[in-house]
Amino acid sequence: MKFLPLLWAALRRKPARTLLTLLSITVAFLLVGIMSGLNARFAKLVEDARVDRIVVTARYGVWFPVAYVDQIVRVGGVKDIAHLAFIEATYQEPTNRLNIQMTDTRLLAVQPEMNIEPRIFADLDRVQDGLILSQGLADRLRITVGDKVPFATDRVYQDGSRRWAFNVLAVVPDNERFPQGFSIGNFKYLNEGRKDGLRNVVHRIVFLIDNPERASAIANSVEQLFANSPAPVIATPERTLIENNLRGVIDMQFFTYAVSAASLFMILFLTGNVMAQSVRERIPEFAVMKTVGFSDRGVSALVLLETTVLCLLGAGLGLVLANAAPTLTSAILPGAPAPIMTPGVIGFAIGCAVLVAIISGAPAAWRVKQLSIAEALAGR
Amino acid sequence: MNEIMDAVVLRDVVKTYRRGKEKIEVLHHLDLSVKRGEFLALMGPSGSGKTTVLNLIGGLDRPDNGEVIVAGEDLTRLSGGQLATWRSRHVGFVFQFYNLMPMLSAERNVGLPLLLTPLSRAERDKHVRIALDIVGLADRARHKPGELSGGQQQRVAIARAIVADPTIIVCDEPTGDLDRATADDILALLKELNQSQGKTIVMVTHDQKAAAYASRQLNLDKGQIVNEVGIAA
Repeated sequence: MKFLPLLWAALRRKPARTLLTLLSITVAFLLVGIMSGLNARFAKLVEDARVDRIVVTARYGVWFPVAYVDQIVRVGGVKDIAHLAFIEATYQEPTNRLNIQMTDTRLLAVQPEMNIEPRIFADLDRVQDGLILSQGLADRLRITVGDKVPFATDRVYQDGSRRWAFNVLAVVPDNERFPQGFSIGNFKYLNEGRKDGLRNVVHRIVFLIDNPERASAIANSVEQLFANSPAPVIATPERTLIENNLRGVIDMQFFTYAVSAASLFMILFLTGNVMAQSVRERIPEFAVMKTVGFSDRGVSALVLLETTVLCLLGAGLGLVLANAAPTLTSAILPGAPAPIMTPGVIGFAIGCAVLVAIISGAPAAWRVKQLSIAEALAGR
Repeated sequence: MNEIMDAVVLRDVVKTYRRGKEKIEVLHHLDLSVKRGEFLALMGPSGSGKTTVLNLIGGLDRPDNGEVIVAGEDLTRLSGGQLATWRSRHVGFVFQFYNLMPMLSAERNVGLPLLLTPLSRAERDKHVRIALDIVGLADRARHKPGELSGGQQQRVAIARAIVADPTIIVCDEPTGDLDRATADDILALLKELNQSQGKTIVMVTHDQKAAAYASRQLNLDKGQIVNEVGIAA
């Protein structure tokens, strides 16, 4: 603590340079924070995904018969089962998008983590045009319970338009599995209200099994069941499905690490250069410090401490911004889940900050350590 | 020579510098002693080796040959770290251009050597106040060097040199950057420290008037002592 005034004085020596360096480090760690936060989000998505939940989708096209539910439920090991069809909708503005899951009360057993009261699902079963909205989504769309809301959708309604009206039955708490929010409607409404020639078809069947170790075997059985039908399906354990999706287009982990590494590499040189320049300007001061008794290691440590404080401060600010700027994330990676600041992400960023500080400060610290007092005082 | 009475003993000291490919022997088998409580002025033309002698006495540089014994310690036997610790305990430095830390206030500059001691904050502050009081700058404690005159800056430097109560004070042209009147003030202060507090002072100067404040004067030329003048205190 007693060396703090020396540290503070060094940072205040050229305030503009310190601020600009701090800003650069902050921006770099904002990127590191977002990228690591995204990685953490993806890891959490995979971690939260259940191995004992199997998702069935059409092998070709997108629709397949809802009647498959009755056949799948007879496969050994299948417990609870539900079906889903989706309506892509917009409300008032094209940017107010939502993806309504049209289902029935059985979803509650298959996705218990949604934590919705059975009473609400019972209401949905009774009210065909009913709609359940998550709190965040309802707030974003400015919709409240009791509203009758018309949505522009990708499905043709029986009147020939693509306008579907819903009656908002309940607004339920948000769920971190659905960072963009969620909405649930009654499958019967879609099935009976659509006029596009498609009836009794769904996008997805989801079911739980009694033994996670048999997930692959059961999934294969389900695929085999419909292999020779006009609408064959793909059955995949949910965790595998999410892992495949994340790896599908791009290796997200590699991408996020690459972006982090590039930004850290950039500030490594920047900070190193700033520190070298700063130390060069203060050679007489370091010579005086050594003269009055500071050891070679002591002055080196002060230089490294100076770099570390700068890097840690920048990392802290960057993480705060990364945590407080989810809109920035969607600007960089549209549609991507929001990053989360887990202890792992914070630890990683702090580790990177210390590493950058040590590497970038090392040449300057070495120069100060090697400084000959007599030559420095003589101006040589 | 009576080493117990001597604050400084240089014995058969050789110091060589390298300038490019050329080797320059600055000190040729120099012998020198400074008694405890003495105020010695080292004079001589540029390049005569005055500052080199001062650097050796202050433990800022090492000889190529010979012994440098200051405050009873053979400095040639100390490691870099030991020498740094020794400097913090036994030597105070005053430079021509003050060499203060521009971003630190006068009191922080003075307190710099005390950061290396186990003293508490309150004890350090007390020492700093006393040192600033001695040099007559108690009312300028919170001023930064840029807000002080040359003479005041040199007083701060002297306060820094004495704050840790060193055995010896080495001064390299302490009045070289000051006008006559201010220089006289500074020299009077050094003499006062020498006489009232018994500090051993070794001062390098070009200025004959400055040298007159010392109790003894040595003239160096080409790395050797050419003559010695004793001055009545």
